[in-house]
Amino acid sequence: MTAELPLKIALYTGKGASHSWIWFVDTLSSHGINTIEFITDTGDIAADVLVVSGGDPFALFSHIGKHGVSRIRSFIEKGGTYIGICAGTYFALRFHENPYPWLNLVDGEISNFAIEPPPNIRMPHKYLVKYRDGFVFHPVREAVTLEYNGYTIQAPLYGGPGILSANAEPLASYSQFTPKTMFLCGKEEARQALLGKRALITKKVSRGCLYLFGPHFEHPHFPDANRELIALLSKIPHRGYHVEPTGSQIKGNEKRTWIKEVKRWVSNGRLAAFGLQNYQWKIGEKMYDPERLAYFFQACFKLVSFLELQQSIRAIPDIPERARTLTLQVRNLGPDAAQAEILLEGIKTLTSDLYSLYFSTLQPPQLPRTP
Amino acid sequence: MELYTDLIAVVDLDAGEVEEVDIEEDFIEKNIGGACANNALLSQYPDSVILGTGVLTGTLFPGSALGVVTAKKNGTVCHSAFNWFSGPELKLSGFSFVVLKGKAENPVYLWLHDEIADIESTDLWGKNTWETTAYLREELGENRIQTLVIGEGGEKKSGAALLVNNYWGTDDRNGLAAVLGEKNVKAVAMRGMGEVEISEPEEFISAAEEVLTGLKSKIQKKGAPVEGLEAITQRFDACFNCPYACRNFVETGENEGVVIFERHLKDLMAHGLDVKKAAETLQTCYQLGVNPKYGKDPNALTTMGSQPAQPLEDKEGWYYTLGVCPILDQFGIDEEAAVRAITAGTGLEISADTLDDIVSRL
Ligand code: SF4
Repeated sequence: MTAELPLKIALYTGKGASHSWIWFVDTLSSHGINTIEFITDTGDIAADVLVVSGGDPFALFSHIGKHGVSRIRSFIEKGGTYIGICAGTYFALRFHENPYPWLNLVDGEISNFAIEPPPNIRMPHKYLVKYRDGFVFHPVREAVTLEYNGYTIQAPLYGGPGILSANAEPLASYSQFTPKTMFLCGKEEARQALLGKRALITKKVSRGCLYLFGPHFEHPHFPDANRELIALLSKIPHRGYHVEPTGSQIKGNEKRTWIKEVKRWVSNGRLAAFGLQNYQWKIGEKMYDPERLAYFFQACFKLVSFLELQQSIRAIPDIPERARTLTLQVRNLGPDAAQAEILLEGIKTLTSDLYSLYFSTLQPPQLPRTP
Repeated sequence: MELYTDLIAVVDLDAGEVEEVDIEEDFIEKNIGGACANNALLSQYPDSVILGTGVLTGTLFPGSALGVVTAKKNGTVCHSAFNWFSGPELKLSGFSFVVLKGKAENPVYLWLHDEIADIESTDLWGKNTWETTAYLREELGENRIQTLVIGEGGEKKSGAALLVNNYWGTDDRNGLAAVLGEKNVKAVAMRGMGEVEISEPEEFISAAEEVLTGLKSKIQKKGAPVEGLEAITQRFDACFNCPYACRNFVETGENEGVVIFERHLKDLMAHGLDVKKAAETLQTCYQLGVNPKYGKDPNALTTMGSQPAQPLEDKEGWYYTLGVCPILDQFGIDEEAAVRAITAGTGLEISADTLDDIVSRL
């Protein structure tokens, strides 16, 4: 009997994943879902759900590789649920005779691909990605209105696709722009590219299922979209996966010393990251700016501040040293994209480890797994 | 405690340890803040140097840029002020007050950030204040770090030592930079992203706005009123949240210049320098961390003998307690609104009489 075990979510945070997975974690956590495991490869997915969120689908694939892709396919075929958001959706779609051996489990066409995209009017670094003989272009950013289940909700779009047609069931479509929508090309071209197109689709594959989101329903500033995401997650069957606690329990002086060291270096890193200026790094096909790095440090700081207030916490011994190393890397960071990438991967791992400790500190011990 | 961040850092320089002490409501009720609170801490930790923020420092209240440094010099309790962005930054670092007790064996700097106080040993001794600030910002990776630095004047315990905030002189009229020098403290670097809570935000903001409106209606000028200064001024700067941009920036060379503190410039002119020469000399004074009140030769000022204490004048004690710049007094701050801001901000019942009473103890 395994029904007592909660839904377990494996969240991909490895290469190619941007910072938007933090939104996913925060939103789920604020709805009481704390059974999230962070994975950086897809070799063995022991969870009910695999989430691949925003980032760079080219980098995702080059890291996950053919073997990882076949493991994801097998995870779905055996009853797992795949949730793709933005990059995670491109990764799962076979569109325009996709020449890449990505997941390709849903056949469809995207509306934001063109041989000659409309002229760009702002944020050129966010507008185009070369793809085959044309470009994937991003007509708008920020909040858009979606038609979902017969009513409208808002969610932000940061590069996710409009889906023209697919061998999948449509759940939501782009219906309107909002006063907060930022146009990267002319309004009319944006309208043509997006409105009426699918924003969320689902498809059953063998015993499993895929949900592919264009917009970020998980963004914490969009409570209606958050609620729908949670409602959707609540329908996913629990298959009885156990979440192992991370780290070891510490308290008293040991805890105080550990947390102080972590806080010291996370604070230093955060301040140095906010102090970085005028750099942009091209990592894979995506442009990163200091704000992204600062976002991770900020998330770490928030988690450390929570742990600081607890009597007894879970801890990983080498985190202070890792935080220190990352801080020194931030302080020495210049325009070199390779250095920025090392730092980005390091801070992602630190952030996910701190989230794991946060969840393990929060969670009461789970029921033992029944053989 | 509302209007303050939570902690007092008690830095034991002998032991190289920091104790973090919570700020109690009772402490603020009895001492309000700034110079008065520093006094109380000095009684508790004799022979220390106290850095403190006023009750309004770092808030929306106009001119709330002031921080106060307090120490005993030749047996007399002395206060000096620092402003620009360092008062607010000290508070937002998480430490509304810092007690520096004992003496470090070797030169150190103190790094205050996000409720962490780090004592860092340093080989910055011998570097001028500009080099020190530039080094700390580079080393710690953040240009918005505010520093309080001593130069050669403080290192040599000169009677004319002057505490420097980043690159510019503070109103360290009592040469407390020399006391930091005695303690082997080269600098205090501060940066924080803390927040202060306000007990009744609407009332607080309305009182602050009243004061701001009153000030704005009377402020008709920019810069320091010094003859000939405007002609050589490139721009006017203001400290944190101050409606009177009293600080002239004067270029002294290619990519170089000095932010003028009126009294210092006037002192140099009183020593016979013309305004341009005075501005150039002031830059050197700030680099060496010396106060031109005592002479026009910056190098000679690094080895001056002890100077008499300069007590707070007129209403300065009131401003030093609130954490508001006393230069604004010339425009007539609405004191009743200021008291309302304190009451609304802290949630404590503090009357104008109580405040005056506490300030009168200075
Ligand atoms: S009056 Fe001048 S010195 Fe005082 S806070 Fe304003 S700008 Fe700064």
